[in-house]
Amino acid sequence: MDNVDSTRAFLSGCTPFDRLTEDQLQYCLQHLQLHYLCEESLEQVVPKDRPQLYLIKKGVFDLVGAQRQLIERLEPGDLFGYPSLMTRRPITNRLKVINDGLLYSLAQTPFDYLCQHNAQFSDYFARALGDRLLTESRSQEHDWTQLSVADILARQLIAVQGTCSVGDAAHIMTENKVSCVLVVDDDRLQGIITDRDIRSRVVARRQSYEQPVRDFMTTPVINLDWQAPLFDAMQAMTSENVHHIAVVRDSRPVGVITATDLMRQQRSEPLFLVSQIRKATTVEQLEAIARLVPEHLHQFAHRVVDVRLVGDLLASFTDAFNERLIALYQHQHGEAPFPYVWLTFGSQARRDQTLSSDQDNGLLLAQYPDQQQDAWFAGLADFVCDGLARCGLKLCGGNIMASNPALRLSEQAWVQKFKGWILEPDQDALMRTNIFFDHRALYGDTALFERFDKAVTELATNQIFLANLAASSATLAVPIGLFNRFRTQKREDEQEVIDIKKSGIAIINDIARIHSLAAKVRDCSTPARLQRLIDIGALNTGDGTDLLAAWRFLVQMRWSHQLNQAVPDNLIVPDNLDSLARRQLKAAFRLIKDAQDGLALTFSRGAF
Amino acid sequence: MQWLQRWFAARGKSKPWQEYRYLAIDLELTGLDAGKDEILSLAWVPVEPPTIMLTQRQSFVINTAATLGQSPAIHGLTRQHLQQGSDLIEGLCKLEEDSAASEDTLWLFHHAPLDMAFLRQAYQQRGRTFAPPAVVDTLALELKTLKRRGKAAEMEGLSLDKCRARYELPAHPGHNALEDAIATAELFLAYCYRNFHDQPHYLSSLLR
Repeated sequence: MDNVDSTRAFLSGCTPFDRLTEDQLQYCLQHLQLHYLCEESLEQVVPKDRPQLYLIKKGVFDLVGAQRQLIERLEPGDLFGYPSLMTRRPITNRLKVINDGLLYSLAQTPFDYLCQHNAQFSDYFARALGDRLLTESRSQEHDWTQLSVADILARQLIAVQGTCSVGDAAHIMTENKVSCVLVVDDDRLQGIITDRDIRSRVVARRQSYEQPVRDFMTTPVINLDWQAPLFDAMQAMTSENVHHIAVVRDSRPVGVITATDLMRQQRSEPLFLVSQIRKATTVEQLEAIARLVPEHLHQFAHRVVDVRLVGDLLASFTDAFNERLIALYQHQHGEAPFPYVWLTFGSQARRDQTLSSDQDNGLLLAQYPDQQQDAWFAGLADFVCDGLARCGLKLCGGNIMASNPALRLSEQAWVQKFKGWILEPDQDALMRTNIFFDHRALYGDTALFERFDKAVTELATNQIFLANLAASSATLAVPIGLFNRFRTQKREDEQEVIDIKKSGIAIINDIARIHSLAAKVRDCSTPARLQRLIDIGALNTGDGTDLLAAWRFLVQMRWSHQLNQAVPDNLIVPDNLDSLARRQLKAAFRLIKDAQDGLALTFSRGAF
Repeated sequence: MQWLQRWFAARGKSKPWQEYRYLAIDLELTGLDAGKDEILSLAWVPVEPPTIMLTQRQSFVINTAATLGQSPAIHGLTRQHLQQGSDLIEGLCKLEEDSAASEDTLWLFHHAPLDMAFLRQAYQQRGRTFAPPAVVDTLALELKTLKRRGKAAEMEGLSLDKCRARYELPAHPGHNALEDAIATAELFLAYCYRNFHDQPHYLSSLLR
């Protein structure tokens, strides 16, 4: 009669305690303590220096992370405390009492005993830990790149009306010691005029200072929402080659961010590198700058918590090299005979290249070229592809490059090509043509690209095509097997490895692509696609955010791996990971496996 | 410095209530008359706020020949259970021992007078001195609190579950000595932490 029936009944209703054998349950009941948890008793019940497993009997508590972000709301039957028990890492999360209550605790020793003697019990916590860690890495510590534009917006809005004279505007700028002023009429952003504009457009051209600023301003103005991350501001400056960005709130202008503001954050060397790329006049100069890129990425990686941003930065560099090469060619050989678009495919289009990515590109031409016109474009393609290779972007082994005449096509021919892939696919071609469905216009005629992209988007909703894509993606093995063990492959040196690109990141890319094609989502990067799919309800929020977390985790792991290695490959040795990373990796693979199964169910009907 | 503490304690000075150790005790009885009814089971659990020391819980079913009458319907203890039980003296000795484990131990009941009368009787019948520590009674505390708030105790109810419900504690499977002892311990902690959170309260607040 030493048993407390109510406790036994309660435990039996809580996973994973329901998996315990009678003896194990008895053992557990002998080792539980019960506590009253309220604001006052918090430190005693949940001591920082002694991890325990907690099970809530009554009450409501919020589990918050080191950055005070909510990790989980805990209610009766919920467990917490296991991450520290399992990893022996210090406790960093805190509890916030919402409603007082009671909770059971189990100390390290009995917890370990139960884990050792019951595989289901320990497996449950291994999974829970993996999921938790993914959740936490999602809401990780903030660094400057996560600051919002509003955070560094120090100055009041300084604006003039469009009818204001240039002389008065210059006076206002001097008064306020600023290098630019926004032009705003009726709360609407009209344009921007800078020191340099006044010098080059007014003074140098001997214009009258009495003329209104609207005659000289730059419009439209590159602008960002006040809550946009600072990193976006940096990217906008590098990709648009501007030094001033207007900040808007509910589409009303509230201020300006300048390159100097960013540099004041002491973090903006990437800006200098990009501006150097834009100033280069020869391929040799570009090549020299390119040699600095890995070093820059390394330094950048050390400063940011979120290593994934290194990928965004690399994408900015690559785009800048690519654009500069096009500009150099046009400078030497004159303007193009007719409008065109420089297309990028695959990882460059998705902006998730790595140091080992090769180039994938093509040319979209407004019309069918005659021989002379074709020579101009062939020259461009050879020059740019060769230049990119010299800047570190390997030539494509599969010859998916603009230098290949088969990928230098008119709009009609491109659409015809896609039609072929979509309507008459064969298993072999599917794998090879996947890459073309991630495309982006790097340079050129926007309207032309829009027409092309729209046509492809319409074609790609074909059910049989999607079914085939899904079926072919389902054949890719996720390296997680029975009993939650990794399925490794042997490298030449006999080391057991996992290719986290091929059997992880690429599969998520596939899943995001297929869902996006089906839902006519035209974003190209995987996180943007997943976010859009969640927003429009094409993916349920839970699945979507899980996949997003898994993708980010794997990309982060790949970057950490590549930045610490002489040979940038994608091969991870699970045995070299600490137990924490191993668990996270397993959790990520399991999420991918689930999503892969889900994809097959949704689309696979009618494949081949 | 312990002697100094003891000296202060003897002078009626008391420490904050959280610094004491309480044994939440409950008995199952054949009836309500300590003169003729008997103890069927005895259980307790130590409370060291904010923790209920479940691992140190004690529970004794008493091997007694007492007439059970209708009582099995309430406590669920049948003749068979009782025959496998132990002698009451074992439980009483263990209780004495546990009570003496620390200077600052008190006894805790929900409705102390009834259980105290049976315990006094039991100790004395077996020729042992009955020297209980100070006693805290959750029923008395709750009654006082209700009165202070101008509420009629008869209307609100003072049974263990009625009291628990006022602190949002769930109904518990009653009439099992150990379950009742734990339920009393929970109520006690909820009562103190809820009512005393605004300022430090000393033991005297619980005994007055």
